[in-house]
Amino acid sequence: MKRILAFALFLLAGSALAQPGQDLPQAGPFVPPKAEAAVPDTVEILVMLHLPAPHFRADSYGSANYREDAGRAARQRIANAVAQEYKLELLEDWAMPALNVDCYRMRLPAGETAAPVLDALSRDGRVEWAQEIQGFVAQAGSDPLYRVQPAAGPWQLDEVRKAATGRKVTVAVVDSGIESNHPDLAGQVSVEENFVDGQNYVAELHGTAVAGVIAARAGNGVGIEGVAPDARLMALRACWQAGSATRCNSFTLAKAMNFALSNGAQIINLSLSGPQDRLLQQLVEVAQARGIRVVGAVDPARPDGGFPANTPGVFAVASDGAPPRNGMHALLAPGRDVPTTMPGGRWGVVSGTSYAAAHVSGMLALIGELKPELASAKLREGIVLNEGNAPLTGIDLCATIMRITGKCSCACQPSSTSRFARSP
Amino acid sequence: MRMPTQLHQPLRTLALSILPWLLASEAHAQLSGSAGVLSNYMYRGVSLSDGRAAARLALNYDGASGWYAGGQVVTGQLAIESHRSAQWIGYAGYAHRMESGLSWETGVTAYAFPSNSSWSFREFFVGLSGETVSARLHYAPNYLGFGERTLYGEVNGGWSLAPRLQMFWHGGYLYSHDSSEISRPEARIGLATSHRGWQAQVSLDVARLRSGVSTDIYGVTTREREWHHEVVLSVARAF
Repeated sequence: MKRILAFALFLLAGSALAQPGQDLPQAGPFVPPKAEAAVPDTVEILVMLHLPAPHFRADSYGSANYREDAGRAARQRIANAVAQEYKLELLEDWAMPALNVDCYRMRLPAGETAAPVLDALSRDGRVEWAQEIQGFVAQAGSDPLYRVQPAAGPWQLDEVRKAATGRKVTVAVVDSGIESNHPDLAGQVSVEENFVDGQNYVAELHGTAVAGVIAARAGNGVGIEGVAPDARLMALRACWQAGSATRCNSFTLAKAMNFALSNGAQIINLSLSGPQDRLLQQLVEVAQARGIRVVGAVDPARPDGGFPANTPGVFAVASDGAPPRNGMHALLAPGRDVPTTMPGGRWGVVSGTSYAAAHVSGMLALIGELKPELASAKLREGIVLNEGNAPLTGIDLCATIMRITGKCSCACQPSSTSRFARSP
Repeated sequence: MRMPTQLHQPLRTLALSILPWLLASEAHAQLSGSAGVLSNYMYRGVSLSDGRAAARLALNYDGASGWYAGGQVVTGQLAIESHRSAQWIGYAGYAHRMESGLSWETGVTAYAFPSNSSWSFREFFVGLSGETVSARLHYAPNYLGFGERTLYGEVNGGWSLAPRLQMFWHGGYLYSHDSSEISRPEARIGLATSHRGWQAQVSLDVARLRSGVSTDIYGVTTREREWHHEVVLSVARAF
C-alpha cells in the first residue's frame, strides 16, 4: 500500500521533484527582492538606535505601538542626521523592542563598500551598532523518491500521537510564504505576516513544504500527516522565492524573529543558514532566554554548520545520513525524500536539512504540549538518539518523549543502541 | 532678591521640565516632544480647562541608561479661576525592559498651578508595561493640596487597526484614603492617527463624578454620583 501511495505521490509531485534549489537558504550576496535578476551595485546596512523602554509621558497614555510612539520623532531625527552625515539613503525603520533598538535600513551610494562606513558608525555615540545586511539564498538538493514519510515508521508517530499532537503549541515558521489554504494545512496557520519589503504575502514552495512537515493535518483523508498535526503555525514570510532559489536577508529575518518573540511563539523554526549576524544572533539569544526553542538547519557546505545552527543552545539539525562534524552535536532527522505539501494544493517530495529541522520542530511541539516549562538544556539532554538500527531517523522519538515527559502511552520499541544526546 | 513664594513650586516643576535640555548632550540622548491643542484638557475624568480648549507643549528626554525626564505646560483653567493660567507637570524616572519583554518603571511627578499654588502636589509612581498593555500606580501624599492621600491606578492599551490608525483605551480609578469625596472611576477610549509628524486623536472620556446631595424621607443624606462623558479632539505636531 505504501509503495502505491509513494508512486502516487511521486506523480503528484510533478515538477516539484525536479526543481533544484528549494532547500537550505545559505549565505550569498544580498539581492533586493524587487531586483532579483541583477546583482546590485549598492550595499544596504542596518543602523541601530537606542529604543527606550516604554514609560510615563505627560502627553501620551503610552501606547506600545513603537512605530507611532511619542518618542519616534527623536529617533527619526537622529537617523536623518546620521544618514545625511554619512551620505546614506534612509529607507525604513523597524523597532525591535526585544533588543532595545530601533533598526534603520540605509543604503550606501552606488559603488561604495560598507566597511569604512560601518567602522565610522561604530565610533558614533548616537548609534548602538551597525551592520551590513547579509543575504541568504537557497541551494539545490533533491533525490529520487524511495520512501514515504520517513519519520512515520521509525518515529512511531501513530503511537506517539496517543500521548501528544502538539496541541496549544505555536511554531513560528520563519521562511517563505506558506499556502495556508492548502487542503493539508487549512486551519493550521494561526497568523500570516509578510516581512519582505515591497511584496505582498504569497504562498511559496519552501515555506509550504516546511509547514507540512511540522503540522500537516492528520486524519483528513488526503496527503500527509505532520509530526505535530495539532500545533498551530505562525506563517512569517521573511524569505522570498526567486526562480529556483529562496532568499532572505538579515533585516527580513530580524523583523520576523521580532514578531515571533512578541506574539507568543514557543518554537521558532529557522530552516536556513548563513554567516554570523549580530542582529539575528541577539534575537536568537533573547528567544532562548525567554524559553523559546530555536531550531536551525545545519548547512552541509559550512564547516561549522552556519548560523544559526552553530549557536549554542540552538537545536541544530542535520539530515539523516550526514557525516558527523567535529565539535558540533547536531541532531539527525529525516531530510531525504520527504513527502510534504506544495503550493497549488499539491504534494511533492523534498530533500535537505531544512526538512530535517522541520521534523525536530514538530518533535519539540509534541514535547512542548506535555512539558511546556522544561528548560531547553534539560530537553536537549533528554533526547534519546538511535545508533545503528535506525540510521534514517537519528532520534528515537518515542523513547525521547517517554524519558522526558513520562506520559507516553506508546508501546515504544527503542533501539538497543539508543543513547542520550549530549548537551550542545 | 527674594522670590515670591508662589513661584517656588512652578520653578521646581520647571527644573524637572528643562532637565532634558541640560542632559541632551549625552550621545544616545533622545529629545522629543509635541505641541498642539485639545478641545478639552481632561485629567483623570475632570476638566482642568473648564471645559474649554487648551494648548499644550510637552518635552521628553530619554537617556541611554534608562533614565528619563520631561514636562508639559497647558493653558488650563481651574473651576475656581476666571481666566486661563499655565499648569505645569514635570516628571523624572527610570524605566527598564526585562529579559521577558516586560518593562518596569518608577518615577516622580510634580504638578504645579502657579496661579493657585495650594493645588500643587507631587506623586510617586511605579509601572509595568507589556507589548500592548501598561499599568501604573500613583501615590500622592497631598492630592491637589486637599490634604488627602490618594492612590491612582491606571491601565492603558492600544492596538493598530490599520497602518495609520490605532485604537487606544485607558481605565483608571482614583482612591482617596482619607475621604470618599474625590474617589472616582474614569475611562477613555479613542482613535489616533498620525501622518508626517502630525497626530490627531478623538476620544470619549467618561467618569463617575459627584453631582449633588440628596436627602431621603428618613433624613439620610447621600452624595449622588453620575456618569459624565466628554468627547475630546486633539491635534499635535510631534518633534
